[in-house]
Amino acid sequence: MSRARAHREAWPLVAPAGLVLVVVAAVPMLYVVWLSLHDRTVFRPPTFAGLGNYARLAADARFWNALGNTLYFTVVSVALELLLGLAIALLLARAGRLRAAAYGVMLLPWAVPTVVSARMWEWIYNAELGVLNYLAGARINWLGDPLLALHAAIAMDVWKATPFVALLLLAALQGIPRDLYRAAAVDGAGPWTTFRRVTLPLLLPVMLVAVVFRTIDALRVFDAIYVLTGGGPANGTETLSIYAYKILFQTLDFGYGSALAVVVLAVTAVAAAAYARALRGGAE
Amino acid sequence: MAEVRLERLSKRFGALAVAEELSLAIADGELFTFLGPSGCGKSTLLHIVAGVEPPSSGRVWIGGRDVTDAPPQRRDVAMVFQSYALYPHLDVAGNLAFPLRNRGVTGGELRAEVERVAATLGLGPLLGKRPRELSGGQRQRVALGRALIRRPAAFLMDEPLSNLDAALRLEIREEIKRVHQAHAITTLYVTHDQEEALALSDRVAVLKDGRIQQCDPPGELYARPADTFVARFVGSPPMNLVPATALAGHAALAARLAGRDPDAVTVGLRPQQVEVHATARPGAQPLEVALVEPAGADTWIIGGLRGNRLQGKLAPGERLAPGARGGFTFAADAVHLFDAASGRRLD
Amino acid sequence: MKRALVWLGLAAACAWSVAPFAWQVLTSLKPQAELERLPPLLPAALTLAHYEAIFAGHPFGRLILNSVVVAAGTAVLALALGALAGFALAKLRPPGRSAVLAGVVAMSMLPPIATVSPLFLMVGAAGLRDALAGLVLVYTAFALPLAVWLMTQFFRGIPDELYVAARVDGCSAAGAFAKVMLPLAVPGLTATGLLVFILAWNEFMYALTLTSSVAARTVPVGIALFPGLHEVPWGEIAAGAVVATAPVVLLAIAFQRRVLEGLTAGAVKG
Repeated sequence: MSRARAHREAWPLVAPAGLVLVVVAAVPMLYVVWLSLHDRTVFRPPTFAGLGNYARLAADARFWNALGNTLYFTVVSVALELLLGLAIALLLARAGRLRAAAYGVMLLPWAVPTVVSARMWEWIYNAELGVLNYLAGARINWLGDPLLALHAAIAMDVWKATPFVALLLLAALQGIPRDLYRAAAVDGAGPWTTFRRVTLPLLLPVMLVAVVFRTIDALRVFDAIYVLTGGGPANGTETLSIYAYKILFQTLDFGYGSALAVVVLAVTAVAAAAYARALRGGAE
Repeated sequence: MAEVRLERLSKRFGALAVAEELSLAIADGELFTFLGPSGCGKSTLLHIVAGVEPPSSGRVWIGGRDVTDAPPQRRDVAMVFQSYALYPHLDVAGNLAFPLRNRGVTGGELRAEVERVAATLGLGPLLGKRPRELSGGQRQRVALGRALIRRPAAFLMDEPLSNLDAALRLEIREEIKRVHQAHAITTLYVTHDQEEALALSDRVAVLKDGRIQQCDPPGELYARPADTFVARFVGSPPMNLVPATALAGHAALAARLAGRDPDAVTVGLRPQQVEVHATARPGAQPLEVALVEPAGADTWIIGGLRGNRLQGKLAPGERLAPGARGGFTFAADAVHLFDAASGRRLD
Repeated sequence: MKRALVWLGLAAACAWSVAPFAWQVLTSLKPQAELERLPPLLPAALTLAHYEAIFAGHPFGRLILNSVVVAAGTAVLALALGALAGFALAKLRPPGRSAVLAGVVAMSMLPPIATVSPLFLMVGAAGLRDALAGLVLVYTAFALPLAVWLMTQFFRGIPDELYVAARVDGCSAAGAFAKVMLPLAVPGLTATGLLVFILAWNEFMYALTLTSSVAARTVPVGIALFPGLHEVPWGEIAAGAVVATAPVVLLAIAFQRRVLEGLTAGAVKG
């Protein structure tokens, strides 16, 4: 049948990509779950441990600390990125001729490797020689205090990711037909009402997309914090990914480390599923 | 032999039926049109014949071969699109040559064929230009040329004139008719414009909800529409449809109605055959004038007849204003009778 | 008045984006003596000593070469596979494609930490540890969801009729792809290639885990592992940072229109 022909023509073209994804992404995902069910370190041969690693996880205070740090980091940074991104997008929408130049400048934080960004901010946050303390006229040990360090990390992430959110929202803003604003003006709506009733509802789908991208990136954050603070001080900035990485590659406990990794996977999956539901329900 | 046959063709998108058990035989050299409202799936039918869309069930035959499972490049059909679909990255010569290149024709023979087709359609001076440099009419000519160059078994034309402005439309329509008469290639044509269908076709199939309401030569379609849908779709301005009871007392109607229950009959009258007058005439029925529409030589009068809308032609020399009371007459043979419930023709 | 406010706001936003860079560039050019105290902000003299140091004292040149090879290799591979798949999903529209696309999107949300330990074991078993080829393979899988998604969107933007015309004019599906679709997809290919290159260049966790020596180490890992045993060589780190960032920043600016197309493709249309 012709349906069979559609299959015959299309799937061979999709297969190579599919194969790479299965071998290098899907199989490892299954493998990590498998690993998490075992007791596997370099000292002994692997033995099946069932849910033992997960039980250990539930009782592990450091795990809960990492989970808390991750969630706090995610909520605060995404909220800030959304608000600042929206503000900047609104500014850019009215920028006129300046817009092209502003684009280029705003792409810089996004383009920079996260590791480089972390080193840059490490230098800025330096207690003795950092320019932040110099400009503030203070001697605050930004990276030496657990709570300060977490917020310093959040500030760094916001700096890096806001332009991406802003550009995404700008593209959506530019897609809103001018006639809607004219109609609102003729109907007597002031600027705040127009924003609330015309702009915001039409921006909501893209805002949702931006929130989802940023949330998932924030939940799995690793590079920036690894380089900025290494998870310290006193595990104050240790996120789930960092904790898992240390267990895996510093203590070489592949069983427990995999269980931690599976938790990160699960948390991300829950966020993604919530996104799918929200997108289906809200936008369409 | 390039007869095209559709055998119990069905195509469903979920709950929406675009074709339901369509069976048709299109003769060699015939220009056959699928006519229907926009969005009723006529283009999908062409895509099925071309082979880029599989049918839900049924079979397609081209030139005596069952091509239902054959890929498009082996069906020997050529297609002309509403949006021209010229390859933007090739110039006119490249566009014309494309189908032949795919068949391995090269060099001098290729050049000769391109020049031959270009000459037929007056495209000579345009050969080096890109599609974006051409006007709409020129682009459609190139599209026609690309279809012609292969001398295919059948042409598939998907609303080729819809993107052109009114004047160009007539010009290219003539071109299509001329090309068809010169080459006598079987053509399947799709349009929502009934005037175009009547002007070009040997036969027209009127489609509604995936089913053929009527399949006849244009003259038949116009003179004897098979149901109220066809009656209103074909012919401009659309046929008046009024309940027989509204025309009570009309002598011309009484004869035609003989023996039928007026409550069960809808009467069809083409506006061209309804004469409206300001002065009294024998046998005229009253009409309350609502709108007056001048249209060049004729003037249309749109009015109310016992609560029904009726449109007719103003008798020459007469004058009527909105709000006035006029009268209208029609001949007995101008009357079409349809069943009030099903809409099907009664005679 | 409102105009001035808008420009002021934008100027602030731009300054906020650029300031850390500017400071980093300045730092990289400050003589070592001036780095050890603050004030003054601006250096009395500029020096290239730090840049010399990173190429002479560290194998930075080698790191850059590795990064270029890996990023370019990933871009080429991801583009090839992604364009084929994107075309098939967008134009051939096989049944089951929405499931495949949903799967692709889901894959893009994979946290690297979840697969880094199995990949460490698998890559080791395959003998590809500390090899550029191993990184390219892993990065391709990492970038494929993005590449497939973007190419599907870009191919969707090319009118269907051009594909139908090519088929009717005698091309097979692959022929229509090569002769008609691909030439018209060049903007999309550029945007996707750029994004994949930048993604691969910036990646850290897999590079950290799957390489162990300078033979395969990439620039981000080099930057992260910088500090010496005694004092932190801020000048050299700054120079390294500038060198590490320059290629991607230049690419992003030179092709910023394409990059923006890629970033917003699909996300806005939904």
